[in-house]
Amino acid sequence: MRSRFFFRLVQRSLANRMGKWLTAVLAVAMGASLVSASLTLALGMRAKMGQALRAYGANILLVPAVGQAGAPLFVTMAEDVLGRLEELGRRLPVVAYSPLVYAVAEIGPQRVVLVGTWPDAMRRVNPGSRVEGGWISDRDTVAEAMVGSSIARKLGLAVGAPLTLTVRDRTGTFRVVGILSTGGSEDEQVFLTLRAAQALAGRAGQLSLIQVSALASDRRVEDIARVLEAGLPGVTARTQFRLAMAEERLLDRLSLLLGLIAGLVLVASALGVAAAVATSVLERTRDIGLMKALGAGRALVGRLFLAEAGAIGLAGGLLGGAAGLLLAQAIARSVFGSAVPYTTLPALASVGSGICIASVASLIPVRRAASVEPGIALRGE
Amino acid sequence: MYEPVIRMEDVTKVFLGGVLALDRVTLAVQPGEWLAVMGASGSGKSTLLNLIGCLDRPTAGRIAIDGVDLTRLTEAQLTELRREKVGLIFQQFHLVPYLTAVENVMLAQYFHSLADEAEAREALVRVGLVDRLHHLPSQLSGGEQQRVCIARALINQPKLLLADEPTGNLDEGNELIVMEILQRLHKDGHTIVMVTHDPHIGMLADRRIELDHGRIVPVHTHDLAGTASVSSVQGLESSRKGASEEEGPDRLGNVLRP
Repeated sequence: MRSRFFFRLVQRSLANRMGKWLTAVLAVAMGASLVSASLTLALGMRAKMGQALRAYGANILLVPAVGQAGAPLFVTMAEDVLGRLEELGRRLPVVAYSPLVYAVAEIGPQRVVLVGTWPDAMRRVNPGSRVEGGWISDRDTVAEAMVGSSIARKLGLAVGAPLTLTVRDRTGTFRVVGILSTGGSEDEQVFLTLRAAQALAGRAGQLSLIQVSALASDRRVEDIARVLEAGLPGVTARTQFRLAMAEERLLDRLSLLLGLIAGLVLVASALGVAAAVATSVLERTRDIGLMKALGAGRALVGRLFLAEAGAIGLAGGLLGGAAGLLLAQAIARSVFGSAVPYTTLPALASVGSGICIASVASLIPVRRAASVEPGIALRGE
Repeated sequence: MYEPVIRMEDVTKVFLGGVLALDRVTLAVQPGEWLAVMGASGSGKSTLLNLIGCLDRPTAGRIAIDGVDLTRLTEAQLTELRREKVGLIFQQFHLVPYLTAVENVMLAQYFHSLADEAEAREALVRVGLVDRLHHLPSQLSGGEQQRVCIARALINQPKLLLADEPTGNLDEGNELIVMEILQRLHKDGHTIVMVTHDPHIGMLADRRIELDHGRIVPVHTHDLAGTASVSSVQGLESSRKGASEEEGPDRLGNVLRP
């Protein structure tokens, strides 16, 4: 009941000075819009980069630990490591992984890189790839093969064609079920199931590489790689950023710049609010004196003014939050050529910063309001 | 003999810069008494009222309200005493401009305890403002504003009513209405301290004191020549020359409803 009348007082007072508060609301909105814009950009663009990374392929590679002898293509690690990875992956944002074994195979006179992998994991790790025909049906088939689009073109291979592969003294014949096009090195490779490739290459139970897709929007990918490395003996984890690092650096600089501007504008906003509240206190000295003469304590007078400042902060924060989202979209479109996703954090941050800035900026004038002498109301004009 | 509602002993008030506003004033006001404090501008009337109203502290001397010694109280305790014991009526009305009549009354309730709209409305009806409950001060006449101010002063049933030139800003018609209300309150047993420079208004009180340069002096009888018979509002009306006919007894009749 008491708080209801309190809000009625605040509401009446705000309505009475609507025009005068408008400048303070706009000042807060300006600061809050930059907070919202810079956060939206920083979060949104990083999330987009993470998605882009996954679309381009795996972002962590697990390879046999360095120090083991032999050329990279011929060094392998034991397949047992997959069991440990499965266990670790459950506690980490690992969305997919695919084990690979590499070998050099010959198709007639043509030498190609032969890749053995799980067809289902390959699909998940490479969601962005285009396939003509289909994927290899399951992990256990030993009769199906996929061919990279460049090889297929070079050798005139079509879906359904037979394919004979030779690795040293072993030969196998497979049916081409699909032609893969990723825009990367996969276009130059031939794919079999892990089991078929291991058998053909004479490397049963061995792996050359594990591709890991971790769902992480920022440098946490590095942290995940370190955890994997620590948990998997004999394995080195490498992070793989295929996106230009320049874009990340640009984003960093843009975020920093926006953050700095947001900071400066917030200080300016705070000064604007402080000036508006100070003017309000000055103009209402008599009203404050009257309230105190009628028995209002210092704390209550302070609360009334702080509540008004808080309301200004809220209004400015909401307005600035919305404006900031639009600003972020405009910047994202003009700098990165794509929109950023909306998230709740920037909106909450802009409302929060609006309320904080308005309240903190009002502290000094509110203190002055609280210490107005009640006797002032009784003195004549 | 009752304990006086107000007891002042050798009270002195010196403002910053050394201005002596009150000079060793000793005064006692009994429960139910109506005291008029008179004197020229700058004589210390308002300072006296501020001290009694717990709005200021004396430089020297002792003030007790309802037996409580003000000189020993903290600011918060003074505020609480004012809230509990004192009702204030101002010459300038001092209504909050963006609150309606009923909300202005509720404001005093809110600072005291709980805002009760029904009770606030009733208080305004008692001072004849049944049609003006939801008007803003700017939509009310001076007399109506003063009646809102009186309703506000009375809403928490204070022991002591302090009125600073309550009719100073009113035309004669409204002056009569307001004085009638004060007289009724006096009859109901309220203790009233009223500052006025108008000897006719002062004559309505039980007792008059006059301040001159911060000291209590004998009341100037020549100011009261021709007003000796004023003991009621009707007497006040006839004692004034050129009193407004249209705002006379008829209007009062509306206000006098209990």
